[in-house]
Amino acid sequence: MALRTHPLEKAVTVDLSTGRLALATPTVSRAVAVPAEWLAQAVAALGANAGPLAASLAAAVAADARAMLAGDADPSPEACASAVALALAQRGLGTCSFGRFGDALTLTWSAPPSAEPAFHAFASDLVAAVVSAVTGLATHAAVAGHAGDTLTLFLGSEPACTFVRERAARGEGSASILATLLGATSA
Amino acid sequence: MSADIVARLETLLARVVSRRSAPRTAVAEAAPVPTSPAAQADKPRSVPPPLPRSTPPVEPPPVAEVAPPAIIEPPAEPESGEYGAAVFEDADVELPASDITEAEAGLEPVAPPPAASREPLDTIDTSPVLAVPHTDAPPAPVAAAVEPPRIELVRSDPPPAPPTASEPAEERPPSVEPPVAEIIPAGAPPVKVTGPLVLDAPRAPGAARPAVAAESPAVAAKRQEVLAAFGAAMPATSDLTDEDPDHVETRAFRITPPAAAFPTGAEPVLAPAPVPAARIERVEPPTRTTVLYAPELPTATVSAVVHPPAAVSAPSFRALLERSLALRPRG
Repeated sequence: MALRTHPLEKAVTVDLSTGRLALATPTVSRAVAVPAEWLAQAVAALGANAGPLAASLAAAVAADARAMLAGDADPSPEACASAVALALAQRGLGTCSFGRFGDALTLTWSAPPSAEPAFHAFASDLVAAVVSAVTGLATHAAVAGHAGDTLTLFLGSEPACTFVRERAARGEGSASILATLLGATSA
Repeated sequence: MSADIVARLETLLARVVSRRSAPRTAVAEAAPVPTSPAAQADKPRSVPPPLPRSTPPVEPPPVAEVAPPAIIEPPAEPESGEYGAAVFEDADVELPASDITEAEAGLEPVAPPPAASREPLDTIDTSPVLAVPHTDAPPAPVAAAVEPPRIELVRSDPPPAPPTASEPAEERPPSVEPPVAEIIPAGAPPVKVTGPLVLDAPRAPGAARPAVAAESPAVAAKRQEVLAAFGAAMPATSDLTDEDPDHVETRAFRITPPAAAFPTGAEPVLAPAPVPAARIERVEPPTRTTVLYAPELPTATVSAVVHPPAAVSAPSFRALLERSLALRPRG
């Protein structure tokens, strides 16, 4: 496994004398640090209209991830996970890892800005937009479950994500939802 | 009757008289009377010296007052040939059977000493001891013509083989023993060995023998040296003895014609046979590089052949995502 190195020591520079927070990301030279709860409150306030905000944030994260992949059109799972996780972490959005449950591909988002159900739609749109931008495949995402400060999102087709979202709304666990999905698939 | 026998009879009579006059317990401890005249001259007749005893004195059995029928015990059988030889060398003192029979009428037997007090056979006279009565009976005649039995040792070695007429010793070289004589069949005509044997290459019957080139002085000197070694019956392999199990092989080497070991100039020099290249090699490295974490366990280098799996391209993240995108719920 080859991990791409990225200079993290100067990724975030806090200049208290000027009140500037500089991000040494490939695409962002300056950032405004706000509390994570403010993002969660903004998302909750937007509701169904939080899509453009998620798309805007996902574009910035995907741009950083692609820059870390150095133009690799077909990266390995490890490289892709490293790039996406680092792009999220540089903005204080937490980190992530990928997993497989059978053929179902999942993304575990650790330490997201919020794990509340009002944040699930925004998280799904953000992750789907980032993965679609990195891989070039139209991908949908749905929160299959959450435990503490961790969100488990299923990456797949729109019908499958709709299936998972309905099951999750009933309070079914992520493993049970994915098992049901795999047992009920007609692929 | 010779004077020697007469002297020995007198010795016997003197011993019997001394036994009857002495106590019964002394009879059992009586020392043997030397039978040879030289020994008699050295020792007094009246008081024989007592012999050392390792066992306590044993009370001899009582002697019956009434003389039972005379029982003459033959001398004890020797246990070994050495003792037997010693006994029968002195057996010329024994009385012939006919004379003993004649003397039985006036003699009374004396009980033999107990077994514990018996002396070794080579120091005691094993001839039957007969008591002589006090009457002035004439001494029993001893037949001098009867030869006592003797044992002669016969050597088991076979007699030396007579020299063969076909191979007189004068015709052989003094240092060359014809080793082929042992392997020649019985019916084969005699072979006259006049010189070193030379093996010829196989040729067609009736074909002329190829000319033999003169051997080099070095080869001839070596040949003479080996022939001298054979003539002196020196072992071919000095480090082996007859106790070694492979001494038979040594003997077999001795009967090999000595000339066959040295090629002559006429013999074709064959190239050495090709040695097969296959051989066993040591796989383990000569030096140990294993770190001993458990000194009580022996170290060993484990060599294994690792077959790497076939180069299977790792699925990319895109491929994994495509498989996940392919999932469709039923209904």
